[in-house]
Amino acid sequence: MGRIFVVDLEGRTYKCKFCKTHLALAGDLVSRGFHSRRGKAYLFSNAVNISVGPREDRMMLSGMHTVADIYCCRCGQIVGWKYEAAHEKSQKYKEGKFVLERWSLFGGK
Amino acid sequence: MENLMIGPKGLIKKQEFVRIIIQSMHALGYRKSAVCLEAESGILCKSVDFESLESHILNANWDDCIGALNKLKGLSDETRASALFIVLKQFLLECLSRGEDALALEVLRKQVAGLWMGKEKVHNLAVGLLFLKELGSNKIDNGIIQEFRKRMIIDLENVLPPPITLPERRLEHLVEMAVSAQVDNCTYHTSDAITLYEDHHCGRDHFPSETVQVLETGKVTQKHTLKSHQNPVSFVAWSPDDTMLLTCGNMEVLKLWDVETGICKHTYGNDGFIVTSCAWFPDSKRLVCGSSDPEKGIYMWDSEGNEIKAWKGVRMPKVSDIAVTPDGQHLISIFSDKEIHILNLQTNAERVISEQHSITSLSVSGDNKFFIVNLNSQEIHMWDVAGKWVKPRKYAGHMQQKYVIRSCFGGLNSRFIASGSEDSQVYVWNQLSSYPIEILSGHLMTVNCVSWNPRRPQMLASASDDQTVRIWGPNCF
Repeated sequence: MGRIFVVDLEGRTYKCKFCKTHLALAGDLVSRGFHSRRGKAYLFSNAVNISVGPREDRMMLSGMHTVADIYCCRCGQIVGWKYEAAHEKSQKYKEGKFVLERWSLFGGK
Repeated sequence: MENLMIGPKGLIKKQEFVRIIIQSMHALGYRKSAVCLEAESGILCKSVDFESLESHILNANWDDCIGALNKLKGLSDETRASALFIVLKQFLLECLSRGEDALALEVLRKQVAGLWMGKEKVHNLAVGLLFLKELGSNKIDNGIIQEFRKRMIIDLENVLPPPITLPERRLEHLVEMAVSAQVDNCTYHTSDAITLYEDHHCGRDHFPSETVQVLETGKVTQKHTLKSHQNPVSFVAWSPDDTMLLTCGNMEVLKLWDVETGICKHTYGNDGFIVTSCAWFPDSKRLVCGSSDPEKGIYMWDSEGNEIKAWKGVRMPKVSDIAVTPDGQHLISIFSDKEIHILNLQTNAERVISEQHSITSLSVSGDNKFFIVNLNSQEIHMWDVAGKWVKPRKYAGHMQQKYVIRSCFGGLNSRFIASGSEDSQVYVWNQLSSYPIEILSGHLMTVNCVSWNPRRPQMLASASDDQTVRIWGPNCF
């Protein structure tokens, strides 16, 4: 198996609960008020060490969005989704940002 | 006659062409042929102006000489001043040798100073002349004067511009320029054989393009199996003297093996020491490794197991890759995935290059001048070690998104760059082109790493997730 390339972040980071790979910086946290089927989720302006799945249109609590599921690049576990496009103007601020589900995260330390 | 053009594109003036041919005949020593050609073509190698200058000098008609120099057209003021300076220098020398000191002094004060040559030069001249005076004016006899005059003529030839004089060995220079351009343009350059009878061109059939051997476990005789690492082995490096092998575990310690016996000579670092990459120094006695735990930093050891130096501390970031230039002068390391640090080991001067995307691997060229980094953005960037480039040269075409893919330099004069790719092919670029010149297919899965044979410019090896190593060569093997 090839050596998977993993980036390390400096500072307070949120890590993948299963393999401890760094996923996002605490400093990039935008909002704590998101929800997924599995519980609470956080919105981040940037995330690393993730691989992005195919785009699909999904009806979310806040309306129709084009999203792509994101997976931890090391263990392959699904960790959240990325907003590719928002269909309503009020939701545009989410475009390009990542939502990481609380249940898949470890940290803030 | 002046405007006659020759050559298939009509770019060459006949008169200039013949003149440099005559010059090269003189330089090669064929004086009779040169004179013959001058007579036959009616074109003189030395221009009329220069001939007259020469005769004035040899006959010591200094006023005529200076007058002629002042009348020459096409000279910048600076050049004219330099030429006059040379002439006056000789004049002063001769004055002094004849004992005409007063005249010499007058000339020095008025004419030389008026040339705006710069105080230093004038002072040096004065000092030189005084020195000569001390040697005794009777020491300078006629023979030496003639020698000095001839030398002076050569100096003048170097100062005056064309078409009054020709630059030295002009024809040789033009031919070398043409041949160098052919070599630079040679895409598949695999041999340095240059002949003037044909345009230099290395054909693709001498370039590695086919699999020559596939090495699978069991088929190549294993000399030793080196067992000791707990984790997968992620990096190996041969010592430059061929006797030792360094191996890094994936996030593990560093081990040094003796190649002949297969015994592990040293293990660097205790439990918990995580090594990301390592490199040898050319003397095969020292090695460096980058570590990310417990204390992040770069550590230098010797082959006996002693620590020589360590760059560590609270502010040291994670070192993801490290390399030493083959001459041992520079240490290049990757900090925090995006920064390249080039440290000159002699002067301790450090240079930092910041990349926009994460760097996955680093490789230095065999001629110490360049290095390449593979980026997460599917590009390979080439930078120069000396630090003159503002932008890197970029190469693209391969696929790299998830894994660590390594690349390397190779071929004659490190002319080529080869890289693995996630689409199971090996990509090869010529340094001068952004797009690959050759894509080698054969592997079944991601190609992780390539290594070009440093002694055989037509052979390279590649390692893949399909558990094989392939050796590539030209199809005329």
